[in-house]
Amino acid sequence: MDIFNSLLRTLVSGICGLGADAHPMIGLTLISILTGIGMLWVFGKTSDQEAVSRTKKRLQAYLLEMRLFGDDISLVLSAQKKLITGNFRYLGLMMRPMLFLTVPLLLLLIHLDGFYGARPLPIDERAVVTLQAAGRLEANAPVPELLAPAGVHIETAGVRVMETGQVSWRIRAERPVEGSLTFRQGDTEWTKSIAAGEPFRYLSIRRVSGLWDALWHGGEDRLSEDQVEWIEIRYPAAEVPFAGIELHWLVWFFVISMLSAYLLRGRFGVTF
Amino acid sequence: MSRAGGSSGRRLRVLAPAGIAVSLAALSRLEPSAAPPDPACLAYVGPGAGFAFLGSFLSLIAAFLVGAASLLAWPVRVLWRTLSGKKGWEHAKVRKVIFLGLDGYDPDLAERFMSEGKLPHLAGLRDRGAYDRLRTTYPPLSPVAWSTFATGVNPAKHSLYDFLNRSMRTYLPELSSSRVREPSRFLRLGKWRIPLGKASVDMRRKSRTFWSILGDEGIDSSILRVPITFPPEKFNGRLLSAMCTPDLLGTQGSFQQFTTSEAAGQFDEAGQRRPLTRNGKGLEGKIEGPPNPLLDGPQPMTAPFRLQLDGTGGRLRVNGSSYQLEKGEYSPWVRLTFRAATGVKVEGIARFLLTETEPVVSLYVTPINIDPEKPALPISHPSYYATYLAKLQGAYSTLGLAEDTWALNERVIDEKAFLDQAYSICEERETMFTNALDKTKKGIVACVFDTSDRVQHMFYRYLEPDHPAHRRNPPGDREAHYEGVIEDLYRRMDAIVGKTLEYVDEDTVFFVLSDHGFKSFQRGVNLNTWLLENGYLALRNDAREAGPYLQGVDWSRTRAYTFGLTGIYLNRKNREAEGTVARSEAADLKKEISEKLSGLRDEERGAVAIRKAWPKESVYQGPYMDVAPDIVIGYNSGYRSSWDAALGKVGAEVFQDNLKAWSGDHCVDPALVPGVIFCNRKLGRGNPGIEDLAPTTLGLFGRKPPPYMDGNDLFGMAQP
Repeated sequence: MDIFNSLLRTLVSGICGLGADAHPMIGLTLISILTGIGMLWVFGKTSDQEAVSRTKKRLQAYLLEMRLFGDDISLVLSAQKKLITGNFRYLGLMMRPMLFLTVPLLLLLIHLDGFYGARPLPIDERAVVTLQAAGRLEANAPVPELLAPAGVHIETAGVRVMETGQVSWRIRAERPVEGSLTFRQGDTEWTKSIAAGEPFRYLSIRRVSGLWDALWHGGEDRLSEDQVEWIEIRYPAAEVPFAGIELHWLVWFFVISMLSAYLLRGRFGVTF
Repeated sequence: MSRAGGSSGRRLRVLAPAGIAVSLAALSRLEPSAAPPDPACLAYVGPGAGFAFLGSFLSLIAAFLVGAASLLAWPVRVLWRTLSGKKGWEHAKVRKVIFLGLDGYDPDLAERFMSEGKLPHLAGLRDRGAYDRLRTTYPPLSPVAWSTFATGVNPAKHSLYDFLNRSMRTYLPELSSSRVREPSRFLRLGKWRIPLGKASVDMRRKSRTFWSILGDEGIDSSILRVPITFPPEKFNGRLLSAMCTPDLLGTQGSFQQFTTSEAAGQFDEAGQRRPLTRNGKGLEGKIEGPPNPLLDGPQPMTAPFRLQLDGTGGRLRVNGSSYQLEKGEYSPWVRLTFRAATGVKVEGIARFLLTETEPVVSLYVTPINIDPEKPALPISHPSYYATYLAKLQGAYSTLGLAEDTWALNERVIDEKAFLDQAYSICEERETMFTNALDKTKKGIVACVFDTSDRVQHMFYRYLEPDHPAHRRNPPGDREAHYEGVIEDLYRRMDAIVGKTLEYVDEDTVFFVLSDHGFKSFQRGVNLNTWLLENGYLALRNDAREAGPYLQGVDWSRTRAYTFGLTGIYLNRKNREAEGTVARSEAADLKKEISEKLSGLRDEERGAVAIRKAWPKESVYQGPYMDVAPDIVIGYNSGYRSSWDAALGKVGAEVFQDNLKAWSGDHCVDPALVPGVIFCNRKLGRGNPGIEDLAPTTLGLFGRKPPPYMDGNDLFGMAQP
């Protein structure tokens, strides 16, 4: 899983990092178009194109039927009924390609969210770092020690929440940083990457130890020790600005990928 | 902090389209959770499926809106109809009138097959209702007769006498039913010319159709493929154009044959033969489309294709799509795109047939039909009716003369391929007819099936062993198999009648009719040669033969000429550009020629070739007499205007054997080829004529026929 995540991180960072210094939309547009093309190809290969085309045309025909025979209420209602049942048939035809597309795209979305979903810590803004222990905390056990790289100031000592097994610290970035936080308890150490300052880059919000969790949080290799379930930094949520509009990256991604797929569908001979 | 609630501020605050909501839900799984994801939330909608969800959503909204609008508008429509005085249904005697037109369905054959018990539905209709022979028009030609059917007037009032008319200025033939005009102004930019305006299509048939008259009264119609409805007229109803609708090239049907044979020459009369060249392991060719409208001169746009042979067939790639062809089997309709410039394209549809694979490879391409889904010219009313039918039932033939008789005449396809094509078109027609019957609960449904005409034209020779075209067939060429084709045709049409009867109730009047019958076409008569031999026509340099379109005619010494199928034109002063016959001489000249031609004998066969020739005044009455042939020819059975004469050629002989597969015809004395009329009700009088159907229909809906109509109400129900 670590190798797999590492490959995806490299791929996403490589593409999304292009021109990120200048504007995050450059990389986002590029990967959206590539995704649109990729998904279009998969969709074409895995869907029953003939049935999709036929069903879609029928739906359009039922709409026209309502205009053509508008004087006859019974025909209008009948066309509506056929339209609704046709819609279900149409959606049913989408199931197969969706099964093929769900997993790869979900993985891609997870990693894209790592790049565009949050901003590095802004200078002089505070953030909370939380460590989730694998079990309940012992009241008499010592609080893990947090070590921060130069440029990151630890403002509070670790605060324990016994019921949930969490320990939280408040930190503040004093200057641009790209490094690691180190958590030490006795002889055991855990690390968690941290970034502050511009530009957009691949961020790991949470480092996890579980295999299943690593699927959803692939920003860093898994924690090797099993005493800690995860370590998280609450980075501020990001929005991507373009043409004076700030929107969540997912909106841009879907608009661009869908638009590119729509415009290129003829070239790929795909109907949807 | 809960496990699912961490990462505050990571909630996806977007106003996304509904279609991507599922993806957003999937992404929300990024919030800390150790639980396995809910499969429903993983439903990715990506570009393809995203549009699907969005499209479904929008179509449901549209359905709801249109449905709601229809419901809300219903009382408004009723009120409007009441206030505007449209009381179409007030005096109506029936709820629905159905016309099933079987072009060329011959009474002799129909009566024979009925007596043999082979047409049970028609026989039943005859026994329960009425059957008679239906008088046809002078001349008994489909465009003429169906125009009379639609308008209730004789040809001199609707101005159609033939497929072709002649230009009075140039003597060149032009389509009689419609005229396409290019935009008159262009903006020229280098080699490009950008039209400043739209091309227009004019209907040249005059008078009003009964469905248009009834439409004004609020009576709705579905008119399918009734000849001479291109361009479609605007009226209260739906109409799909038919005969004389051109192909994408602007012709009445030009097939293309691609072949590796270098010896093959061009065709005499129709179609184009083009090279199929070997390139690597495949074969390549270019389908020729219409001229590029953005360039000066006839520079056709093309659609290249590649054919890769494999076993018994081949893989065809055209316009980025690929189709598997089997030898002897038609492809489905293939959309062909012709690009005039970036972003400017014209689309048509055609079917492919691999006719030979070894040693010569030949590929037949049907005429490129106007794509009904995206029509390049208006072919229906409303304009989206053609689109509606295409989306509902798939692509269909839109060409006026849809069955490719020329390809069989030229032996590019064989009899089986022709029949496959004809019956495939017939099935398309039946599907749209059934749809119209389903949807038109009251009003008029009219549909004409041409298959009955085309198949008889091409297979009549199999009914007559002594037919010159039959003798020409290679011995053992599956002839026996085709002897039953016409009987099978009549049975198939009878089956359509049977299916239509399921839609007929007590409030419905159902007519089955044909515009004319059929006779054999064994010998062609070249009246230009006869006129030359008898001193009415002269050629330049005293030549004895001349090419098509009256080339080589010395107009200064010519008093009469012919082209087309119907008659002889006088070269009238002040009418034709180089007229020689004064108004005062015309009547005598017409009488003289008519008398000479009446009873004209074919000495080689010892038979009368022309039963009678009529001066036009004796058969027509109306304002468009000038367009009519001055003398109308009534050929005898077995004879017709020769192929050469129809094209305006002057040949060496007056009489010629007809050797073409087109071996049956109806361009003879109208008395020899009446049509048929069946009705589910008793007719009120005898001797029905095709001009009676329009006033009869008006009468059934309680309307008085306009006084200009020539026909009479067959039931006598018209309101005084």
